[in-house]
Amino acid sequence: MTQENGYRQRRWPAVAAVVALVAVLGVAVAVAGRQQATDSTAKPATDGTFAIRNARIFDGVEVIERGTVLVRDGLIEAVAADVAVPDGITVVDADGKTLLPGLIDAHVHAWGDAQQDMLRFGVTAGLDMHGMAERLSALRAQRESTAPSAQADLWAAGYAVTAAGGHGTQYGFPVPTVDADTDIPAFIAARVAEGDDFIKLIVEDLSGYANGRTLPTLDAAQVRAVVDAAHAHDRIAVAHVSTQASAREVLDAGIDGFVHVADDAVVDDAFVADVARRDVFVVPTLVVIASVAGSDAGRTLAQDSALSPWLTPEQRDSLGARMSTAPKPQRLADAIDSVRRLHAAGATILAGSDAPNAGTAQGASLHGELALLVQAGLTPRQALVAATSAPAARFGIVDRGRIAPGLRADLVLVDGNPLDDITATRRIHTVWKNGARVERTKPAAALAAGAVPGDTRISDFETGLDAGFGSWAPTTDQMAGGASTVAHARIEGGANGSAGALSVAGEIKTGFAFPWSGVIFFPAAQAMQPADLSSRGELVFRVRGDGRRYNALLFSGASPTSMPAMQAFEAGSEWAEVRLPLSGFAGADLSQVRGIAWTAGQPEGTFAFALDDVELR
Amino acid sequence: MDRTIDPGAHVSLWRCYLLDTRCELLRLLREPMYIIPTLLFPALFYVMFGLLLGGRGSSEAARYLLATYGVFGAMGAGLFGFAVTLSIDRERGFFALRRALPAPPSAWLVSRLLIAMLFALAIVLELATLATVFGGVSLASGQWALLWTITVLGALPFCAIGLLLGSIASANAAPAWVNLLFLPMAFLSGLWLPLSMLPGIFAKLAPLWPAWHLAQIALGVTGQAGATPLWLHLLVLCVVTVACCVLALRRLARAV
Repeated sequence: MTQENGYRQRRWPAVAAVVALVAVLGVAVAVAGRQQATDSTAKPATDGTFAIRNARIFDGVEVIERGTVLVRDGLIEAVAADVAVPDGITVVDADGKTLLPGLIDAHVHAWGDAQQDMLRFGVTAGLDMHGMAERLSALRAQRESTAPSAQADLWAAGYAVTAAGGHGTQYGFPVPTVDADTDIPAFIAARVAEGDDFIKLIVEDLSGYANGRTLPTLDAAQVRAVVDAAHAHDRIAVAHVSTQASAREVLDAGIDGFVHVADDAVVDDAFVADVARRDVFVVPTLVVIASVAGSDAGRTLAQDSALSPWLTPEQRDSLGARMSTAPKPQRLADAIDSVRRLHAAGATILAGSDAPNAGTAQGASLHGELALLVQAGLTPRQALVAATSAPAARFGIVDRGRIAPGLRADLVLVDGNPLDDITATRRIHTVWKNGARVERTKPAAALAAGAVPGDTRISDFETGLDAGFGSWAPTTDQMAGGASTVAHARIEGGANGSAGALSVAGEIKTGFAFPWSGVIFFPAAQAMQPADLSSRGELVFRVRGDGRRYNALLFSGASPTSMPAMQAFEAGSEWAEVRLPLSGFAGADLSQVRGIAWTAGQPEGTFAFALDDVELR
Repeated sequence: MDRTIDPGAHVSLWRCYLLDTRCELLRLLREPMYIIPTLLFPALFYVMFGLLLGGRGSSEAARYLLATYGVFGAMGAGLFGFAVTLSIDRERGFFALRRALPAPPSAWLVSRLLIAMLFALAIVLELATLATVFGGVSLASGQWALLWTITVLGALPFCAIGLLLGSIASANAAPAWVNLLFLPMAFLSGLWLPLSMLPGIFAKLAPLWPAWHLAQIALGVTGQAGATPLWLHLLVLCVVTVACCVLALRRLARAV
């Protein structure tokens, strides 16, 4: 009996030991395996490893007057006044400069080139407040990757929650909306299932703008239901408001943050006290309110010599635009006063620009917002907190916003000391994203309207590949992952006994769904830069070739990546003149022509043709 | 009849451990099967891969492999020191004899732990000499001390694994079992080659191997830490140690 007892007593430790072993190894694989799969720290680091020395370091909260940051494989490894720098790694001497965490813009609407534009100005992360849900998983994958990137990372609200026909539905993409019959918990569950990082509500009926037009918007009960549902899914809820009345309503519903400061009046004491007591944060977006107020803030920002060279023509246009025609300077004054009072009461202020609204531009405007926050009573250091550690903390972004070991090496090195002079953030020396230095290229200047010479002739290839204006280049599907090839060169002997022509020969290969290969003419000084050809009516050229059918493609419009318009032509064995009316390029925007291409497509195989006497009449 | 030992003849426990350790050490030193692979291989491999092949042009490989070959050494010291000798002793009935001896029952365990840690220390000192003299590796004195401490203490989980193997395997099978575990685990834990140079699946499975966790801690000291938190490595090593000890001691108590 004792033996039986003893045996039984001895049995459980063994079972417990095996269970513990299996459990802890399972946990280890689950926790570490995923990190390890992408974790390149185990390799002897040579690339992506560097140290920044002698920098004034603002780590998102504190300042180290002179210190070193060590970056290894996209992550910050060490930051301190005194860090041992391993032999043989790249060292950046940052004497006289200040190192900041990558800036976070707490209010953007990012599409198109926004993420590149943000990064060029040191904004390495943004909080997107309204946009299509389809891209949410791609945004998530992008920000989880530690590979070198040319784009800022985004956390996004997906579709903002708004009423049917309300503000937010007017931007040309379908938005699911809330009406009286909507089952709000199910509605929010659907948004969360789409991948929303947080929930944004729009409470805006335009009544604050006193222009007689009002929009439907969410009522108080709906707001409360949305906030409760967001919290039930562990998402924070933030709100667009522009009036004191709706701000109060949303505050009472338990909102986590405002993504504008209401600008119809100065906030009252009770509201300020409540915001502070409930620890609600405010993203004032003073730059966009400045635009609403009719101030010249955007235009002034565009003229800042530290920012100006890095603005694209589109950004310059956007900064120069104004939201309203009738200046209402009181709105900006009230908003600044409100921020001052909220800040003084201890409310958390976050920096956000609401770019790319009129009067703002992605990236650049966050620097303008920082200056306005300082104007509203924040110290430069508090303003920097508002653009780094504070938004990261409030939006649950655990690996950004600070310079601390283990965090993502998203860093901005600026000349001077923004802790004394906030405008020093504009004097960007280097931006690192995921530990890789970002190539900051100056955008090409816009071509002035009518800058294309009056001469209709492009090229006759008598002496070379030069053009009356613009330039020639090869184009193939390799830029889209295909494998087609092409070679182009001037050859002796052209149409009508002329001295030369342009020979284009290559091979269409499989590898891309719509293979192409050929030659492209760029009308402006830079590739794919738009030129105004609206005064021209006809594309005329002579062609000779292998009898294949070819396409003339016309790239145009605001985006360089939009689909080209197309017309077909044949290239027989004898020289023949082809005349293609520009009106035949359906849907083309002739005021912004980016390129004209002569290409072969399917079927696969080799092709060869020659062009001569190309004209735009 | 109750007492065969005169309670007056008091012998210090430490002296028992020391004597046992000395005897055990002598025995091992006469056993080339243990001493050669344990003491020489890490240093030999380090010279080949860390200094001659990988170390050219950069001290990063030398620094990385300094940490991982130390782990490799501690692993060998623990596994071989326990598993093989224990299985031999068990088969020869040495444990039955020991029970009859006037020695503390834990002495054999303590002496072997001490020896494994001693060997681990010898190995890291060898590696440190090679790394500083030939590999151009320089660490702060605190880093050296921490690296040595981690490697020496790091032998303990492998002692426990060796203990378990030695309590199960026969004397003939034990060396095979140890090698079957030792070499693949070293490879799969990135001790010879960084895991980033292997297919991704190996990196995903690395957390299964205690050697990987110890190597991550050691790499943390040499400034090449991974993203996995320290507590997880420590937790795995502690649980492996305790679980293997519990299983092995239970088996030994029943078997002998």
